[in-house]
Amino acid sequence: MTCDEFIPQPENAWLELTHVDAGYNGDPALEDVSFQIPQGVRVALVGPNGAGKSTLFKVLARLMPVRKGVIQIHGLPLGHHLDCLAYVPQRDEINWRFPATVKDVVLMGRYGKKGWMKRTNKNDIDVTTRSLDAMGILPIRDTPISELSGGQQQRVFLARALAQEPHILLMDEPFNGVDRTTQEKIFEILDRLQKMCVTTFVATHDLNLASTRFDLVILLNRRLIAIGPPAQVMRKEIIRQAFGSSALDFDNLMVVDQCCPE
Amino acid sequence: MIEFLLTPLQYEFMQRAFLAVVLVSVLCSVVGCFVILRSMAFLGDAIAHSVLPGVAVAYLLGGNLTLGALVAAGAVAAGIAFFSRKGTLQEDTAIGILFSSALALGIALISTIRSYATDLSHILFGNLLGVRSADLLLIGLLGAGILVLLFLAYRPLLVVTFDPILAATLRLPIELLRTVFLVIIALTIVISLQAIGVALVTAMLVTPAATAYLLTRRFPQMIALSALCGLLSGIIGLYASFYLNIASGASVVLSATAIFLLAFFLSPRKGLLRQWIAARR
Repeated sequence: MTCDEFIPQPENAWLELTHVDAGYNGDPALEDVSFQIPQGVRVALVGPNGAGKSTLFKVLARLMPVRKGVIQIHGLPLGHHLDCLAYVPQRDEINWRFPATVKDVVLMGRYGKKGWMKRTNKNDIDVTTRSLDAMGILPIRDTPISELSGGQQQRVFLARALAQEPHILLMDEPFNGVDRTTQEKIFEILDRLQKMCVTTFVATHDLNLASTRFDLVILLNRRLIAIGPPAQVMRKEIIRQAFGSSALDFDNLMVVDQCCPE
Repeated sequence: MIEFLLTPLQYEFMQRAFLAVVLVSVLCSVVGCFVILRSMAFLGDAIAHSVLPGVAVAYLLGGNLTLGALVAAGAVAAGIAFFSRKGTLQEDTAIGILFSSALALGIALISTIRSYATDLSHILFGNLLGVRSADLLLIGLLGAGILVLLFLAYRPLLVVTFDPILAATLRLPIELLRTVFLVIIALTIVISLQAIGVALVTAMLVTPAATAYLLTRRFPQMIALSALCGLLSGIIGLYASFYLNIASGASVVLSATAIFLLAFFLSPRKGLLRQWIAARR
C-alpha cells in the first residue's frame, strides 16, 4: 500500500500529538507535547539527558501509557494499527547471549505480519534477505548474535525493524558506540525509507548530525521547545532554552556539555 | 554388556521407572530451555518447594497428592505475582519469602504424621521405583499436553523471552504469556515429583538446558540437545541407581551434572579446554 492510498489529502499529518502528558509517577516525563509530522520525513529528536526522548518513543510504541492527550497515526488513535510502527530500542536492552543467529533475529520482525501459527513463507524469507542485504549483514546471517560487534548489533536491530515493514520507524540513539560504516549505513537507510514514504524518528544527542542530516528537528526538554527545519531550530537561543546551563556559548560556537547516557 | 543393560528391565517396576524417568527428564529439559533464558531458575525452585504443603494436606486428608501439589503450586505462583505487583517488592524477594514459608508449612504439616521421615524423603527426593501405571498415564498425558502447549506458543514465547520490547510492539499479550509459562513450569514440576522429587527437580530444569546452551548457537537446536541430555541423564542415572544402589532422583541429577561438566570443559566454542588452548597459542 502506498502513502497516497492511505492518506486522503497529502497535507494530512502522518503522526499527530495533541497535549500529551506521559510518565509513571509524580511529575510527568513529558508535559503538554503537541506536534504534527507529515509522512515520510526524517526527524531528529534532540534534548538533554532526561528530556523525555525515550519516554516519547515508549509512548509511541505503546510500551508506556499516555496520561493525558491524544496521539493519532493516519488520523486514528494509537493502537488501531497493528504493524505500522517499529521501534529500535537502545542496544543494551537485549540479552545478546541468547542462542540465535543474525537471520533468526531479523526473521522475528516478520512475526507480527502474520498469524503466530503460520509457517515462514517465501515472502518472509525474501523480505528478511532484503533487510539483511540493505544493512550489509547478509554475509554474517548465520553468525550467532553473541559474536557481534556493537555496530553489527545495531545493524541487526535495524534490519529487523526493516523486516517489519513499518510506516513509522523509531530509533533510540542508534549512533551510540557504532563505527563510521554503520553510521553511514543508517543514513543510507534513512534516505531510502524517506523515498518509500516511511517516517523515521531518531533520538540523538549529536547536534551536528541533527542539524545536517535530517529534514525536521524536534527540541525537547519535558516540554516541546521547538520543531522545524534544522536551519530554523538549531539556533543558539533555542538550544540554550532546551539545554539550559549545560550549553556553553563561545562567540559563534555552541558547545553542549552532554555525556552519553549509559 | 547386553545382560548388564537388560537385567534391570526384567522387573516390571523398573520398566515403569524407566518410562517415567525418560518422560520427566525430557519434559523438564525442554521447559528448562525457556526457564534459564528467562532467568527463572529461582522461581522454578520456589514453585517446586511450595508444592510441599499441598502434598502434605492431600496426604493428611487422604486425597490425590498430585491435585494437592497443583493447587499449592498455583497458589504460590499467584502469591508471588501478588506481592511483587507494581514493584511493591522485588520479585526475587517475594519468591524468597513465599518459597521458604511454603517449605516450612509443608514440613510442619508432614511432621504431624507418624511415618514422617520416609514420607518426607519420598516427596523431597522422589520415589521412582514406586511409580504405578496410573502415575505413568498421568505423567504421559500431562507431559504431552505441556509439549503441545509449548509447540503452539513457541514463537510468542521465543519473542517474549528474547526481546520483551519487540513483544510489546508486536502487541503480544505479555502478561498472559507469563501466566501460561508459570502454569507450564508448575505442571512440569508437579508431574516430576514422583520421579525426581521436590528438592531435585530444579536441577533437571536447569542443568540439561545449560549443557545444551554451551553447545549450540540456535534455540531449536538448544531444545533438541537439551532433551537429549535429559534423556541420557535419566537412563544413565537409573542404571547407576540400580547397580550402585543409590537413590534414583539423586543419581539422575548427578548424571546430568556429569554431562554438564564434560560440556563445560570440552565444548568446542565456549569450553575451558578451548580457551586454554587458545591462550597457549
